[in-house]
Amino acid sequence: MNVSSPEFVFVGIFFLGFGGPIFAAKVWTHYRLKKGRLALKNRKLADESPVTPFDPKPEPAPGIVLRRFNLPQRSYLRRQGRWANLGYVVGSWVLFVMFCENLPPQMADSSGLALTLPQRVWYAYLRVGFVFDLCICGVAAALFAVSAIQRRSSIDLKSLRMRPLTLRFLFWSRTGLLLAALLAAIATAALGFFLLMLIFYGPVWNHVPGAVAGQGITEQQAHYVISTLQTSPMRLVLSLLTTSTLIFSLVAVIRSLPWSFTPRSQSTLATTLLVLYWTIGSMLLVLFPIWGTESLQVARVLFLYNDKDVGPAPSYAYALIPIAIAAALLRLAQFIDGRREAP
Amino acid sequence: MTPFAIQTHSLVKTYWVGGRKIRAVDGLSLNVLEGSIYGLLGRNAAGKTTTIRMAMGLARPTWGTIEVFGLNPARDPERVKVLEQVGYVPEDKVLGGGTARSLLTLNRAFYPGTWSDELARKVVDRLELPLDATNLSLGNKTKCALAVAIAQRSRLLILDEPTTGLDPVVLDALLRLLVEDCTADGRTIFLSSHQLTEIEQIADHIGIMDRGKVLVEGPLDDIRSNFRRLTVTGANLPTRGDSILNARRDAHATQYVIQRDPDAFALDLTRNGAAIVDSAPLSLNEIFLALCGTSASQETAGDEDEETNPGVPA
Repeated sequence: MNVSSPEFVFVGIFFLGFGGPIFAAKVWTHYRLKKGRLALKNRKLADESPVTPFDPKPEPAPGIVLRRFNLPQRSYLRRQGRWANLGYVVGSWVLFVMFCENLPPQMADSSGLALTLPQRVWYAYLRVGFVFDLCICGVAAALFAVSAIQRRSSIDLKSLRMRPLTLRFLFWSRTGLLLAALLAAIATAALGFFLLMLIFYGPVWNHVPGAVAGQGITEQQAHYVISTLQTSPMRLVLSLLTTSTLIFSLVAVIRSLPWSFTPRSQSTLATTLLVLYWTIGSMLLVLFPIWGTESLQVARVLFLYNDKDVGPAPSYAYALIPIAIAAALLRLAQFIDGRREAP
Repeated sequence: MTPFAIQTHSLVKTYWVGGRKIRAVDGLSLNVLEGSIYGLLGRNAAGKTTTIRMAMGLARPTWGTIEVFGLNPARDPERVKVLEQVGYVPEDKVLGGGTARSLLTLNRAFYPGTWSDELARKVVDRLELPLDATNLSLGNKTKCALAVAIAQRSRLLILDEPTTGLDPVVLDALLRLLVEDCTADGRTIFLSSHQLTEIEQIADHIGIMDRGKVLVEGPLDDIRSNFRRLTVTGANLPTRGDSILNARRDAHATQYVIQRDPDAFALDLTRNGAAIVDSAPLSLNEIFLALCGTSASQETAGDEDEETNPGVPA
């Protein structure tokens, strides 16, 4: 494949990635406003009273999932579902665009290893691109968790705590839906990204070399490179999902703590996010390479990869560890949240 | 089964504000009979809203207990059973975003057993609530919160300052609605306010609280008959006693505000040679001012004693 040919396509993707939705939103808002004005004008021409009496529609028939809940619970879930849908759409689009940053051909590995283009593309992605994606997913997870555990001053929090729903239900439905939206957004964005990679470079993950040669490369390093290249996209997506779940639950606990709701919390929200970002970033980029072999073991336990000493991918069974930790953290967040008083 | 809609025992709620411990509610014992219209009166920061928030499970008691229909509103699943039976208008009238129509539709789904669309339409009509306005004024927010709570047809309606921002015409319509539509079938209304005139119009029971404590509680008629202003002349008139709320000596006479059994007190005075120049009942406003004024002066005296004799209880 000609290395320079897809560049224009990628520039186009990035331009459309962020400019497109803004433009579409503008057009949609303009259309809605115009439609509303026209309807009002028509009503006035027809000399109709613009006020229609309160006559709500009956509840639509609940689906298989919602049927398990009572009407108040279904109403709340539908309301939260709308937010989760919005989070999913925006999240998957933004993540997809960010993931695609790793696609341009100039991102292919140029470390001097004797590899073919598909192998260099795949190795570069595993070495740099994936860590970048992991950080992006971490930030997205933190933002979703901040949104899930509402501020003490939240209008929604207060108004819903007056309704006949248990605090446990309020917590799990909101947190669960947003976590599901986050994971679905990551999975969708990753699927889109790997499809695009497949279209432009072919199945790069299948081009595993039998041996790796390069200037000054040791046998052990060559072994690492080969075993790293054996990593499957499925394993990477699972790692993105488990790590995001872990970060989501960690931020949920921090967000539930009483000091997160002092009056100054709004002004320090940005600082909190920055600190979290640095925590995640340092965990992935600095801590593991410094620790050497031990860091690899820690990374493996948490079903993570690191950026320098990319080793063989951890087995699928390790994915259960971050999931179990995240479940325990979310349970802790629910306990703390249940102790909170409404504003 | 308890005859009380709301009952509190030695209820205490403390907050930490700027490193200082504030007792918002201080040993409160209230008894709100089911089927009554109970007006909780008090000055600003008397502890009314904090008490209501504890009744709604929005705040937890620091000490003591609060029960709504015999249930603990601070603990699930009892809390949910309480909330199913209570309509609530919060002090800040915050119900979430959106138009009145969307809020009514949303809340309708939370109370499928009791909600009445017909009553919702009636309240919207009577209170002149704009259903599709997006930016609601304070008055319209109040109307919206009232419409949501009233249409719920709950066993207990808790209204925290329900007249905020309402004009006199709407206020009159609201009071009519409350009496006509919200007290049927033994339902209870518990409203807090410092607007005494409105409370006096509809309440049959009242509680007056100040600085987190109840100063007086009971049927409004009983309270009215217990309080009286007496103007008395004579020598060696008492200045303290169980019945005397306060006594003020003028040049020619002594003016008493009596809080208990005024006839017996007057009889005692006349037996001791005093002459009753005037005996007048007190309006609710006068009772409130006398009670809160006395409570404030006792508190100040207590503080002064504390400063001059630290460690000695006032």
